[in-house]
Amino acid sequence: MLADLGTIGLMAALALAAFGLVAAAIGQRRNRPALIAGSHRALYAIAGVLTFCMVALAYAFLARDYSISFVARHSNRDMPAAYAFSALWGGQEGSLLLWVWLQSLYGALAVRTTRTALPQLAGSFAAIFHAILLFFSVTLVFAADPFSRLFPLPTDGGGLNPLLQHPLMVIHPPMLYLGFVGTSVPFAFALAALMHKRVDPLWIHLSRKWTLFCWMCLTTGIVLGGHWAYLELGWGGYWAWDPVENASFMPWLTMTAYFHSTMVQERRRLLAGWNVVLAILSYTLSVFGTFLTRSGVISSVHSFALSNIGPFFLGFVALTLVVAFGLFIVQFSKMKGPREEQIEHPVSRESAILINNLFLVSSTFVVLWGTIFPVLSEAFQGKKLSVGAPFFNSALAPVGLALLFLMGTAQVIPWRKASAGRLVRNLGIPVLAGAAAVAAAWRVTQHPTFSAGAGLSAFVAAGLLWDVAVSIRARRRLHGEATPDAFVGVFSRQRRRVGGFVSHVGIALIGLGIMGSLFNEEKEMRVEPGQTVSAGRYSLHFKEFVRDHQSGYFSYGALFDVENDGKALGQLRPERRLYPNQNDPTTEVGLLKGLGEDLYIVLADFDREGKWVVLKTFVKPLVSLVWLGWLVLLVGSMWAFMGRSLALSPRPTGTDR
Amino acid sequence: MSPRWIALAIAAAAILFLVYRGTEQGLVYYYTPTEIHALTGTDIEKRIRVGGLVEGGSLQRTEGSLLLKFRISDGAQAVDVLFSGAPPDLFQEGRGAIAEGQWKPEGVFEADNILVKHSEEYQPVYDASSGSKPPYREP
Repeated sequence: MLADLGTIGLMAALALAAFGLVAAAIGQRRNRPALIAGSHRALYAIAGVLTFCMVALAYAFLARDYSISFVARHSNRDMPAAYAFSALWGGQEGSLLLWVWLQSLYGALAVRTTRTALPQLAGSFAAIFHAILLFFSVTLVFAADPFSRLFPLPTDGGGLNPLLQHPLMVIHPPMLYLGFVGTSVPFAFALAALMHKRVDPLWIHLSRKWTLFCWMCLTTGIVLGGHWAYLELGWGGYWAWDPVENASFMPWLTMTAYFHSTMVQERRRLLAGWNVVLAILSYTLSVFGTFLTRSGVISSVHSFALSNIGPFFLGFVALTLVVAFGLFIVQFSKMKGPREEQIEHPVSRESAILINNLFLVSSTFVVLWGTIFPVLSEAFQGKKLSVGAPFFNSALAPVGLALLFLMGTAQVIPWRKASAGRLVRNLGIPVLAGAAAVAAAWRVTQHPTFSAGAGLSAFVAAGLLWDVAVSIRARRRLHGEATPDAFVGVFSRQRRRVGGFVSHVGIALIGLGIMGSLFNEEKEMRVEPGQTVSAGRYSLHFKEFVRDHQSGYFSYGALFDVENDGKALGQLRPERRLYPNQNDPTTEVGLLKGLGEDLYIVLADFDREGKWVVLKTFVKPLVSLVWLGWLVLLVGSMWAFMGRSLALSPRPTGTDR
Repeated sequence: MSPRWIALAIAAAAILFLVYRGTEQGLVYYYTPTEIHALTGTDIEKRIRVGGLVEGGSLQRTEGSLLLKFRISDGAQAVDVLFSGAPPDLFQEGRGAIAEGQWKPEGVFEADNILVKHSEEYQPVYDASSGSKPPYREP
């Protein structure tokens, strides 16, 4: 019953999207506001219908309704309710439904909130969302119906991969999807602006919060995914340049470039065309990444089952690219609006942001190339090959350092033109702090790359502190405020500026954390009970071998007492687990987290009688900075998110240094 | 030439340089055992991958050390592989595996990394539609 309603709901969404597309297109062309309003209502109705479908599928999971094939394949009776619920996005059909549902919410809300601000574009804007929704609901109905029935009825379901039964896997996919799908909002704005030949930055102002919101979700999704890999996969890392990871990283790079270059358009009316291109790239890369990982074209440890949705997606990506860039080529030169200004001076904030953009987009192409090169090589040369982490690391490490430098510079140099005196005043202290950090890092590590990175990170952080200090002094002098009031004033009045600075410190921390991996120590050894082995500064005493048959799986674990310089740090118990219904064992790592370094141990192999085990140990300096940096980044970007858009704020342009 | 074109040219050159630099280190070609035996000249001693099935009965462990010896076969020919370390979770005789390392002129593949294809998606070992409760398996 419920399943039938679900399928009917999907078909209704398809029909509504088709109607909405036609109504919006005709309404826009013939200037019929009633039709446009109708298409908006169709969009809200789609959001309502798909919400019903989501609730129905979630209910089916919680009620263990195994008459629905998707539910039977991805959950079973033993699963706790939270995981039964998250199993909804543990497979192809359900996660696609999640995608479409989020798309309908984004579309409905974006249209609802902008219909009065941008009445001339309202029809085209809705038409774009309807077109996107039409494609996805066709895919759902014809190629991946999550409500398709199973007969005969099984008594129990297959269950969810135990690797995915983890709290982080409950939130990682929705976060990532909020990010991917959210790129459709700036994309739709950009496309609508192109259709109407509008170059003024109104659409940039209107899409700013959408863009930042989806960027924060994407960032969070990526970091949580990395954290999950670190905790659950047991290979000692959090990022492997796997195609699935790359697929999420590419739109992240272009989105990052996008919301930086839109600031240039807001402030200086420059780069209007470039912003349109970035918006188009971000959305198509999001969809293309989903295609890559779901079509089976590229083998990845994360691959979804081979399925027939590949051609649908490739067709959609190709169509989107052709339509969007076709429109761009035809319309952009005809765009009317305030005449584009030129960059006045190479040493200015806009030029630093432009260079930063070029680096970000170059990185995107490097990642794209490394990801699809194996496919191209096999198709055209007939040679199978793999592109490994060394390719990405060696190609992108210098870019990463350059980006840190530009980030620290762009945030403190003025718009238009930086005079020499201004440069020295704004950059002097941060450069000195950076140089001091280089010297300190060199003394400790003697590692050139790390020293450079540490120096650049300190340069970025000192930029924040120095800027806040200068602003406080200025407020004290101008308004006669006391220091604490001035401090609060700086943080609350200049939210976008301070939020940006704080986010940059977050990025610098993440960068430092990543560079900590230059000093990873990895060891592999055979240990017998009673033996003591060492890993870095730690000594590990193998106390006993533990077998356990509790809570639905078999576990084999090795209990270690961990000491550092004779000081007991506690016990670690890395395990191997074998779940019923599953062929492959899973790894439970033993992890001792610290701000300075993590001790990470894995049971790589063992004798079933417990006579010996093979232990893999990793000492990983600075990993915790990656997670810490993400928190700082999130706080900073939320702060910036709460700031006001320039056009909507009363302050005249040009007062911000 | 406008600054726009200069910027684009610099960006393009940077991409090409980065890709070239990365390619020097990051590309690893994949061969089957039959192709490995046909390798000549400069391809020997490059970093490559060899993939196939781990031959049944070929896996030898050395007592007291981490050394593994096994054969990877493509059905027609096979290569001897030496590997020191703990193989991945799913490494077993009769299953597919990929070894990464060097093909030595003396006819042994010295691997420093072993990869195993994960199952595409989680699949239960029993048929959900048959209605039977899955048996717990003691390995």
